[in-house]
Amino acid sequence: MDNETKDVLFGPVHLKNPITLQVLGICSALAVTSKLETAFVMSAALTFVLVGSNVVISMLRNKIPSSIRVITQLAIIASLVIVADQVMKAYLFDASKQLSVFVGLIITNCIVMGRAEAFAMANPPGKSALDGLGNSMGYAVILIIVAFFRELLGSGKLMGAQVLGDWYQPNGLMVMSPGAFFLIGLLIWAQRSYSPELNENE
Amino acid sequence: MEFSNKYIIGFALALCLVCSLVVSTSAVALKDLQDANIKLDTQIQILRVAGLIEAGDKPGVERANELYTANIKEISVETATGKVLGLGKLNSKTFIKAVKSGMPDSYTVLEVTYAGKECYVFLVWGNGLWSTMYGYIAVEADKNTVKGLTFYSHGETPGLGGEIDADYFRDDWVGKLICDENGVCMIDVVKKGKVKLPQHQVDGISGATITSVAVGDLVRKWFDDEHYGKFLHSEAN
Amino acid sequence: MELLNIFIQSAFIENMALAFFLGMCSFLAVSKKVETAVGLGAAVVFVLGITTPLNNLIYENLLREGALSWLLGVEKAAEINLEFLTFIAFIATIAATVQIVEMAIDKFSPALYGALGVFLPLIAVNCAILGGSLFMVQREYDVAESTVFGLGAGFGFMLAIVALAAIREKMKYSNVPDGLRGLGITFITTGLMAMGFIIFGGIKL
Repeated sequence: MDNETKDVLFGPVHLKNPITLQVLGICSALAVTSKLETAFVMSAALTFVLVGSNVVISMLRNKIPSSIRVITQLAIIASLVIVADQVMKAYLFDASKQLSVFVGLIITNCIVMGRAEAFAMANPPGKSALDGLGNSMGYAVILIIVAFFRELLGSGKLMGAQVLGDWYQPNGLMVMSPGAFFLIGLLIWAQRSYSPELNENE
Repeated sequence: MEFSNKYIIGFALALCLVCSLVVSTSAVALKDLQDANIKLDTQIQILRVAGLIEAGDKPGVERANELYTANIKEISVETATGKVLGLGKLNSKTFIKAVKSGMPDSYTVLEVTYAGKECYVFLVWGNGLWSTMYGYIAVEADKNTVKGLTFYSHGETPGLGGEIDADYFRDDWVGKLICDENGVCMIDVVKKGKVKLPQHQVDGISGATITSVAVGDLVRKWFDDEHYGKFLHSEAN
Repeated sequence: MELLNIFIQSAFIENMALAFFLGMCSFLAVSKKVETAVGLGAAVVFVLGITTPLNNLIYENLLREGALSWLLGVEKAAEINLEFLTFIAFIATIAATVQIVEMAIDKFSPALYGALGVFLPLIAVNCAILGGSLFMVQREYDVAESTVFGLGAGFGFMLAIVALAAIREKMKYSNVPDGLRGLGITFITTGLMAMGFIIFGGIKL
């Protein structure tokens, strides 16, 4: 793999992470991370939509008039999400019941729209697919870490199975959204302590 | 890149056409599978809340259908008096739609006839935090003890309001008495730690106040006299 | 005063940003300066105030089961249920409105346009806007209620983002540890603000 490809694919996992650096995809990072299982399903669904939309938009990038740019991107993204939702309801019924309303909110997940604007509109389909994959991985990593701590500390369970015994008094704050905010704040601190070049200078 | 107006309109039309074709095709092609999934899920939910299958049990389409048709009788009840009118048909969609313009004159109750597990199952629903929660509540043959409550469709926050599906919340409903000795409806969901009448009150879910209150509200609403209440207070048939 | 109640409820008690955590991306990214925050907030009020009642009309008259009966007048029309197109129809209205707002801002205030950057078109995918329309459907508001709800929700979002921007401007003079500076401390501050708003939870007017 050449350096450029590596950068596109692995950059978003750490140095250009969509959640902690690009500030995209926050809403779902807060909403579906109270359980590890939903975090996994959401990451999978997002990967499908993000890669799909990046590829399609990239293929059409020279043909989209800029005056209807936003609507065009949204129409493509929305169609992909609806198809994903229909397929889940037919073949992965239990998973779709868990995610319910949040599948629709993938349409509004800023990562999908953000990457379409920032990358797919200016790059060929192959690279756009990799960018989609890379950003999905970055998103998934954060989601899984946050969900891990929220489920473990918030209810003593992991993937629905009781891990901490009766001695543990579940921390209600972790299950509620302020807990997620604090966790992501601390994650950012940890990430930037590890790579000080990411620090913001004000 | 400059595009002529004709191109823009043409592009927009083509995009609409392609997107709607793709979306509609997937919706229509997968509809049968989706409906079958929903029907199976509904039957399993009803069988579970009625105590005819165990909590982790997931019967296949045939067995679920068998159990359902053999042990569940759909009866029609008159709203104003609570009298049984005869056999009925449970069509959740039409019923839910009809209730939007007011409770209809009659409704369907599911009577479980399996020996030793007789009970009644009612369709209930109400607004939660994010979504409308649809579920079934099972009441013992004495028409006052709750046998179980389950929600088959809701869009509440996973891990918070979504815990209405969790065992600890569902189990808490088993054995709760709907009315007290004077026939006053006392059943309710109360903030965790503030339960004063454990025979009537269910513990709310921590961090999910709005959803918990909503569940209490909807159960009380469906058991009032304008809805299923008259049937519960009528003489046991 | 049902309409006033809806306004107060959507602005304070059920604040889109701090109680439902919708619209977080723009909320966190555009709150660096009070000026840009006010600009984004005003845009959100405008978009929400227009799209919520508009989407209500579309849903009631086109998408709901049986809604098309006025158009075709035939028996069969009452069975047509286009609800699966809800997302795409709502998003289309929202995107169109945002595109118009984008063109207006570019014309009247290029500085604001530059400051908002990619987050202006991102209003179209701001979950708060779509969320507003979806709540309106779930709560079955009519047109008047939808308008008030949209304006209230937008106003609440604007209040929240301006408040956060004010706090962040003050924090520039604080000694925040290197790794937390900027985004990190913003998350923690928002978490604290969110805790504050939890006290509103469960109040029913």
